[in-house]
Amino acid sequence: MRKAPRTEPAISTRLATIICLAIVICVSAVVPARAQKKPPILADGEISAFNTQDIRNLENTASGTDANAQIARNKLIAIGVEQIDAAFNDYRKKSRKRHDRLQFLFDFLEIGASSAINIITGGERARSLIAEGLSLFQGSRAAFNKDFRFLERQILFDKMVAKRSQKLTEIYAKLNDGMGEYSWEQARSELRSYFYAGTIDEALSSLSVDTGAEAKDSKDKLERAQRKAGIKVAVTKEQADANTAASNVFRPIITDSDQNKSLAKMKAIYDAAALDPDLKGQLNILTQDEDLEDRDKEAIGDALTKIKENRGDFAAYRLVLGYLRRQVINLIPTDPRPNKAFQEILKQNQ
Amino acid sequence: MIVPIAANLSLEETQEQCKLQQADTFQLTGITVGEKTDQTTGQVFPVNKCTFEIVQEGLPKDLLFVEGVVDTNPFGTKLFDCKMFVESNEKDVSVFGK
Repeated sequence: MRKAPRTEPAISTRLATIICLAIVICVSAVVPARAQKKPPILADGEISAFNTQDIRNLENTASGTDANAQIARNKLIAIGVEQIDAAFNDYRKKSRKRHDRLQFLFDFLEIGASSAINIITGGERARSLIAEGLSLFQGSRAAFNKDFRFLERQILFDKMVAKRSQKLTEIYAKLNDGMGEYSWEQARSELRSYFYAGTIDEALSSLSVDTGAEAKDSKDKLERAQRKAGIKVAVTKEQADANTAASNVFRPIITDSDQNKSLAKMKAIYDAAALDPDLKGQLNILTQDEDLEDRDKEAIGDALTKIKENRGDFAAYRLVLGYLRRQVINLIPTDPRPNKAFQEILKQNQ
Repeated sequence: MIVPIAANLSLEETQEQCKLQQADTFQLTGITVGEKTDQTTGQVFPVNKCTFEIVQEGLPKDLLFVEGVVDTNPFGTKLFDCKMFVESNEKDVSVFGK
């Protein structure tokens, strides 16, 4: 029985496979960088940091209140730090190796598939399949990097190192404290926090808090700069409350059909404001507001003249008190005193 | 009176600031986009320049800002249309009053 002749696509596919295998063998043959050998004094299992009986003995001593208990507590702290550091460094080493291997594998598969498309001659169906497979792989790799935060690994480890260092400094600051101030139980709880500072979850949470704090700080800086330039920013709760309280007094007056009664109330509010030391100052600088146009300043000037000459009508008092109310409420974020005085006067004249 | 209001505010925040500036005495009559310079530092900020006129009789109208050019709204009568900054972007807005 005659053998079926080999087709072009089959030959090309076989050639691509041989080339890929050759590359894998060459790479595997390269001796990977090995970690340094641990000196005997640090061999796990031999030293006190990992000797359960020694640790139990120290815990018994640390339950006391004398100087020996303090020494035992500090030794336990040192042992705890050593154990946690060993666990963290082991985790970091394994994470690095896993990360490097996976990245190489992903890169190799991507390059291999791209090359295979070009190596295969004829066999459009085969090339199309490989191209589709490559697209699927690239999309999956992007999703993997995003969902498992693969590329942010270094940032997360940097955050862990920073948090661990911060926590350790806090622990070491208490080594001279007596047992009454810093018991072994307390120290152990802080060691637990030191351990958690070296976890991915804690690093993510910390990054989120730092980012949020930075964003708020930037927003506060911008607001301060805008206020300084005379720009109105978002209304604060204090301003909103003050405005509502003022409306509760002014609106009934303005809409009252008894004009004599309305005029009397507005006059009483103005007279009280003119006597108050905080509000008198505000009345004196009413026309210096940057937001006012010339005709506003003229209108205020005319109204104040009428009031001082004892011929102020309702419109004049309304105008002056309207500008004053606006001015003192605008001022609340930097100086709440004029508004406080104004609100007191309004309460008395309600 | 022309009150400069920060361009980075949301539509609702700008609306609330305009309501506060009315102080039961002034009526918002228009808004245009512009800039304000801090005279001491020279820093330039984008702002909404809000124009207010003195109300001679009664109370000023309460305000509602609606994004887009909208002819009617159950809230009240249309006061004006304008182009203004909403969260630092220029947008068409219709202002209604009642």
